[in-house]
Amino acid sequence: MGEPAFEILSSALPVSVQGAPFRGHRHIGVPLGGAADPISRALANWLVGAPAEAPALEITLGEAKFRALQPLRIGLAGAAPHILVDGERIANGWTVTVKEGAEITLPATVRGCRTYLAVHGGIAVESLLGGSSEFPWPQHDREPRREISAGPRRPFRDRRLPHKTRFALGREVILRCVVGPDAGLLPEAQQTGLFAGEWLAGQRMSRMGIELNGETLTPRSGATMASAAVFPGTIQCPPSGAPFLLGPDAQTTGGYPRIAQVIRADRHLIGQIRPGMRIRLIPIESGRARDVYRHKLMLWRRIVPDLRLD
Amino acid sequence: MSDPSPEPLGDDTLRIALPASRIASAARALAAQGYWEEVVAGMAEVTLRFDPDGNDIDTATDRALAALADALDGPTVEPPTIDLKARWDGEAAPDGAMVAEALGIRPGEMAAFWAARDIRVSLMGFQPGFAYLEDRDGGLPDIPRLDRPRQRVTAGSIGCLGARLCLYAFDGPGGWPIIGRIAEPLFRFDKPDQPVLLAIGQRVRFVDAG
Repeated sequence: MGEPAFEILSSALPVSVQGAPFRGHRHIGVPLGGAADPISRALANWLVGAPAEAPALEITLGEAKFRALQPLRIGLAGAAPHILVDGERIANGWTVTVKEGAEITLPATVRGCRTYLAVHGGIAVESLLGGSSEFPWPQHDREPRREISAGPRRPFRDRRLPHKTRFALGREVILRCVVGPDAGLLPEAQQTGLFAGEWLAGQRMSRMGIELNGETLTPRSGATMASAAVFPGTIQCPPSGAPFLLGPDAQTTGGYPRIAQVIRADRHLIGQIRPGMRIRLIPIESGRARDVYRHKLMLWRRIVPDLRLD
Repeated sequence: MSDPSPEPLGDDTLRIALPASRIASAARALAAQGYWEEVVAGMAEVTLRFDPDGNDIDTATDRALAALADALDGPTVEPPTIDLKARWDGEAAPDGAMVAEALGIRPGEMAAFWAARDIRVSLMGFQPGFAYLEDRDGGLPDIPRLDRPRQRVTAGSIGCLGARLCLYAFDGPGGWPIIGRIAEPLFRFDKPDQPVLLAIGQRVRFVDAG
């Protein structure tokens, strides 16, 4: 599986490897998985000349420390604005060369949630069901990953991300949504309030989903609904009345009312939501949402031609 | 039946409400088209996902209708019945006595009771390989979920809410009363071509493993 490239010295939250997601397997219960923010992951890979969906490290919130076990060239994108290499501060957005034995520190992030670290030569993983990501279901009692291997390298020139790709992560995120099929189970005032009010990302959050705190919703008798398909970006309303926004590792079916669905163009933003962040849900008509998606994809593909958004 | 009508469910998703008896064959016909990113069967609907980059909603809708026309007119094709060896006692069945009482039988009769029922896979999902089953014979009482979900249900466990049953594919939390356990793995990482044991619509026959 290649030469050991990094050792994970410490991380506040588990570091995962996220490559291609497990597309096309929801009918057998396999969640999508893959990078929670596929655009930042593609940009990190771009910095080291790797395909958009090459496996990269996904670091949540930080702080995380790594040791380079061989000379490496790395690319970082996402929430962390800089890294420290043996204590020296280096702004992200460049290909960074590190010496064997160097200590790489990703500081705790203040804005946004996830940072991606890609390495020239790629990270070696076994593919499964068309995916090359951490399998999105807790497996047996697997030990957390301690060592990361890199693959073979081709000659490659250092890069710098174009300025326009450094989208600012703020204190608030806007998610455009189409109204969900079960929104009618909410009282009329709440159907409006969902899109007029302000939500705060709760402490209960993971790659499976994020609880939204705000007005307590009171759906009519949702408990007896037949289980139906849910997807990343589906906003469900469980009996607690706190909407739950599903993430990339979300289960494939659910029995709670589906009150809204984040549009395909905006789902990559879910990966950058951190606890306490303000969230606004803006309604959009589905035909318009498709135009937004095509336009966003076209713009990003000028830089990353093989970018895919799910 | 009335004609199925795909309705948009978001910008990249269609939902088709269908009678339960037609869901499995519709899902198979739709998956065979190779057009959809996902074909997910639910209890009362099939949900389809497409990539709006290069596909518009009208094309997607027409595709769905074409598959359904074939699937709904033809005979229902069922996957072969599968025998699953199960244990119904001891630590495999922590709620066996409670459920037996609700069913009006003795705990020792559980194996024979379930072996005789017409049980089908009604839905695959929730987690990899997890199966929802349905008792088609009818007449079973509703059994409530546990007041406090277990932190750890063993892989292969059979959950029972009366006519609704489930099979847990992996160790993990779960709130259904547990009445037995099968030995065969429901999801296999070493079989990427066919990782799941069961298919929607399939008849499951429980065989007493003694």
